[in-house]
Amino acid sequence: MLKGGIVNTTMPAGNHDITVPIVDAFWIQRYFPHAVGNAWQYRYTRTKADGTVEHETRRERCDRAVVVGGEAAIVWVTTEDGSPAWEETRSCNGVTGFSMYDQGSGADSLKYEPPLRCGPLMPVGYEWVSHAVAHHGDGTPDTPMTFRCKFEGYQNVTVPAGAFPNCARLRVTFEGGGETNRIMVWMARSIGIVREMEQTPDSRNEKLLEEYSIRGLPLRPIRPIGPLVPAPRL
Amino acid sequence: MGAVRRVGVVLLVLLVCSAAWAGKLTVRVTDGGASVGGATVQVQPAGVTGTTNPAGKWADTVPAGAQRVIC
Repeated sequence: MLKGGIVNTTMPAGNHDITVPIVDAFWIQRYFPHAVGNAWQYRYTRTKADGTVEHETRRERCDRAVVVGGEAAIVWVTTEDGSPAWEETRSCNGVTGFSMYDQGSGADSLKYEPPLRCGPLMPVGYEWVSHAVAHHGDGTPDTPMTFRCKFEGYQNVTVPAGAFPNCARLRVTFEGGGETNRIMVWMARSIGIVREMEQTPDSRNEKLLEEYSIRGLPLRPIRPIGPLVPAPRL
Repeated sequence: MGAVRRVGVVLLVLLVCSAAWAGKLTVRVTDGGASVGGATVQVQPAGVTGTTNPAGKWADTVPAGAQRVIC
């Protein structure tokens, strides 16, 4: 039994109504809005093992809706400094939680069977572990893949796009092909990823949210992704 | 006739008492004030479980007394 909220009550004679707030868990659907047209712009900094630092502007966009194995999903397109970088097919909903079906582009792609998943409800401290086989687009033999995701708690985060209270902090690990990537992710409610720190075998990468356009967001007007203007560098 | 009446009174008392022993518990699960559909609900020690509907609600009959609701 996953514990997201607990309320002790004394049941009286007759009917009784109570509300149980989820306070010790993370409902990923509400933090990772996957809807066509949603877009995010990040300042991405890569620090290589030799100390070299590279900056780039990374844009991520929910490009189009697709169906994978009978499940509704979104193709997530990433560009780096305006150039197409890669695509991922993902979904995020209240039933299956977050799922990643494939990533990459062309020959340099990976398809996960079954999809890598976590959620939908993630109790604090509980680690989701998802095993899959990664099929390589270039014909390389299949490799086993392990995806781990752990919700560690809520934190306030300030990035160029603004201050975001009570962001969910997740510890994510990808293991496969003899390589392990460790990622710390901070997600703001209704916004998505606002900060990410990744440790790969040869670099340390940080991603900070600069601009975003989220469909249906109540407190912010919907803006087209085209003319997004980067926020001033800190 | 008196015996029948006595049985009727006993049945009535039992009915009233059983109504006092249990009631309908309606649980609404929320996340930041918003309803959460599809959440699993468990009531202990009553031992009843269920899943919230799209409106974030679930209800079942639960005995009176101290209960812990977990979702």
